[in-house]
Amino acid sequence: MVDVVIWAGWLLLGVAAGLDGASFGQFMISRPVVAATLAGAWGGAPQAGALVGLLLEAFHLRVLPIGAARYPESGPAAVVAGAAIALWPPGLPALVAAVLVGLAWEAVGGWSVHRFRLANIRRASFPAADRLPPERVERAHRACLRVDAMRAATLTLAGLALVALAAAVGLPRWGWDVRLTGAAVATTLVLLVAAAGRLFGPRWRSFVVGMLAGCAWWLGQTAWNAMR
Amino acid sequence: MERPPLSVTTRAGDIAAPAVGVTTPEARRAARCAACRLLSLQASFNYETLHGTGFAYALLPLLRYIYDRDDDALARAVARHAELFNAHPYLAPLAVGAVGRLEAEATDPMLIRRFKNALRSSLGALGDQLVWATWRPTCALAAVALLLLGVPWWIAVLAFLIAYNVLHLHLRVWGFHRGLRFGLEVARALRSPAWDRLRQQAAQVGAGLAGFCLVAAMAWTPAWWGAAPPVATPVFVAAAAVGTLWADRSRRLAIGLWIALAASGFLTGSKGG
Repeated sequence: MVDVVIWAGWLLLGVAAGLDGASFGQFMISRPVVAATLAGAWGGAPQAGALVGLLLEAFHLRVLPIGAARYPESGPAAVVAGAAIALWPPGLPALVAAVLVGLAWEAVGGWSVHRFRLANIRRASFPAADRLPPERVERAHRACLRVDAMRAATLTLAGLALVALAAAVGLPRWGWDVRLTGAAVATTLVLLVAAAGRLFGPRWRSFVVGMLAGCAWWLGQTAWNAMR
Repeated sequence: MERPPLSVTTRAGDIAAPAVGVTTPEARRAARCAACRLLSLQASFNYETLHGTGFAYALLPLLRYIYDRDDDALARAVARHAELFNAHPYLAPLAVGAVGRLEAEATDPMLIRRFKNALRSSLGALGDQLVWATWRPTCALAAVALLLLGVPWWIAVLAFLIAYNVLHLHLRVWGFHRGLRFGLEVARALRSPAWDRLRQQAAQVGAGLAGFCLVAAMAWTPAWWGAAPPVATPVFVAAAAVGTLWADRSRRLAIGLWIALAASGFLTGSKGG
C-alpha cells in the first residue's frame, strides 16, 4: 500500500513537473533542484535526492529555452532520477547511475516535447482562418494540455519502470576508490559552475568577490572543524 | 440576467478597470479569467503559429465580454488573434492586456496586428534576457550555493521557489494590468530603464554566486566521499578554466566526462568482482 502511494506520488510529481516545464505555470517545479529533491524526499531519501538535484541542476544551468529551440526537458527526468536514488542501495554507484539516468531521460523528454509540438500543428494551429469559433480554439488548447499531461505521465512511468527494473536486477559493482569518484563528481560540478558564470557576461569583479567569499567560508569551516 | 448594452468607450473603461479601479463585476471576471488562462499560454505551442492559439485562448474571456452578442465579430476576432505570435510567457500578459484594451476600443484590426508584431520581438528579447538568461540561473545558483553550504534541502528548495516566483508572478500581474491600462502606449513601460537596472543587478549577484559556488564545489566534502585527495586541486583549477573558456560546450563535455566515469567505474568493478 505504501509503495502504491509512493509510486503514485512520483507519477503525479512527474506530470506536474512535465506540465510546469512549458504548458502550465512555469513555476519551476520542473527544475532538477526542485523535482529531483522532492522525488528523493518522497521516496525517503531527501539528502540523496538533493545531491542528485544539485548535480542535475548544474548540468541544466546553461540550458536556455529561447524561442522554438529544442532543449533537454528537466522535469520528469529529474523525478525519475530522484526516484532512482531512493530505490537503489545508497552509495556512489547509485549516485553516478541516477544522474546518468536523469541526463538520458532529459534527452528523451526533449525529443518528446519536440514531437508534441510538431503534433500540435495538426491539433491547434489556425494560421489563416477567416472566422474561428471560440469553442474550437478552447477545445484544441485544452486537448493539447491533456496530451502534454499524458506525455509527461508516460515519460515518468517508463523511466520509473526502468529504474525499478535496475533495482530488481541490481547495479553492477563499482571499481573506483570512493574519494577518487567523489573528486571526479566534484570536477564535473566545478566545470559546470564555471561555465554558468559566463552567462552573466564579463562581470569579473563580482565573480572574484564571490570566490573570495567562498574562500572565507572554506577557511572558516576548516578552522571550525579543527577547533572541534 | 441580461447585461445592459455598453458603449465602446465604456467597455474599454470596464476592461481597463482592474488597473484603474473602476469596473463592473462581469469585466472584472473576464479580466481575471484571462489572467488565469495566461498560465497555460504555451500548452498549444507549435512550430507554425507558436503561441498564436494560446494567445487567442487567453484573450477569449475579454473578447467574449467585448463582442457580447455578435458571434460573427467574435469569430473574426478569434481568427485574427490565433495567428502567429511569440513572446516570453511571463510578459505575454502585457500583450494580451493591451490587445484586450485595443479590441474594446474598436481599434482597426490592421493596427492591432502591426502592434502585436512590433511588441512580440521586444517582449521576447526582454523576457529572454531578464528571466531565462539572468534571473533563473541566479536563483538556481543560489539554491546550489545553499545546498553546497549544507543547508537543509527543504530550505534550499523553498528559497529557490520563493525567490524565483516573486519576479515571475510580479511580471505576470504587472504586465496584464499595464496592458489593460495603457493599450497602445504600453511600449513606454517596456522602455523603462528599471528593467535594465534589474537585469544588471541580478547579473552581478549571479556572477558573485557563480564565483562562490566554484570555490564551494572545490571544497565540497559530503559524507558520501569525504575530502578530495590533494591531487584533485590542480584538476579542479583546470576544470574551472575549461568551463570558463569553453562555456558553450561545457554541458556536452561534462556529460562525456560523466559517461566516462560511469563506464570506467562499473567496468573496473565488474572485472574486479
